[in-house]
Amino acid sequence: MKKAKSHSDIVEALSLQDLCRFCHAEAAWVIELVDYGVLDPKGSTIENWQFVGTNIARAKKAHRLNRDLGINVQGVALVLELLEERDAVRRRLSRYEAI
Amino acid sequence: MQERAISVRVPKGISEGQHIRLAGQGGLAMGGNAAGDLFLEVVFAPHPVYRPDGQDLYLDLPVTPWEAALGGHVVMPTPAGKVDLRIPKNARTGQKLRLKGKGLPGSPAGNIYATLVIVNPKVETKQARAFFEKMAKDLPFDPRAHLGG
Repeated sequence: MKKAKSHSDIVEALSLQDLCRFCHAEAAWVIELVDYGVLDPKGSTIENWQFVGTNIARAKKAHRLNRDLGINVQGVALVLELLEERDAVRRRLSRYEAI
Repeated sequence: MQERAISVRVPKGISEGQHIRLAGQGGLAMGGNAAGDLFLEVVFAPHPVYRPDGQDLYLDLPVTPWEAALGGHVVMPTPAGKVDLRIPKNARTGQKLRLKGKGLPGSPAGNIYATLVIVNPKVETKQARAFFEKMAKDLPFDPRAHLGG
């Protein structure tokens, strides 16, 4: 196999259009996620929206939950919140278990 | 689809859940257009010393009973190099010391939180045994006083 060096950079922010392409999701679905507080883009108008940091990974997860399990937006909001809470508790727990 | 290996430079300061974009490494577009980008989601492998939380790093810092009791300076390794850390007098196990800005890079950079763990030396020599016996005799200390009974 051929090894090639390639230019790599951090994906800092995505517009609504780029996020839709990135997650294979429709704009209406992403807008609904924003309405339910699952995603929280910077910018005041939809055209100016910039999705940054963990929002990008969240959108991807949200889309997977919807596509694979058929969960609606309200359900996705709840599942993501519980998953993130669980991850935070696990991180805290690992701090105490290590002592 | 043809399989190929590529080496990826990990950009400095990337955090868990962020994506790396590899320009032109994605699939070929229809109609002979340029190849798309390849996106990689970053997941941290567990580290034997540091436990990351966002840009912050947590670790356990072993100290001797006399370092904890008397306070003083210890040298602590960090990802950015060794730092001098001041241990306060009468430090307790579980006490957290913060090193501002010494965590993962970013804006703002994360902190390091070192949790002190007091570690006893193993008593293996006559001299060590005599030291501990002297402490047992001369230091009035009951760590179980609060248990009552």
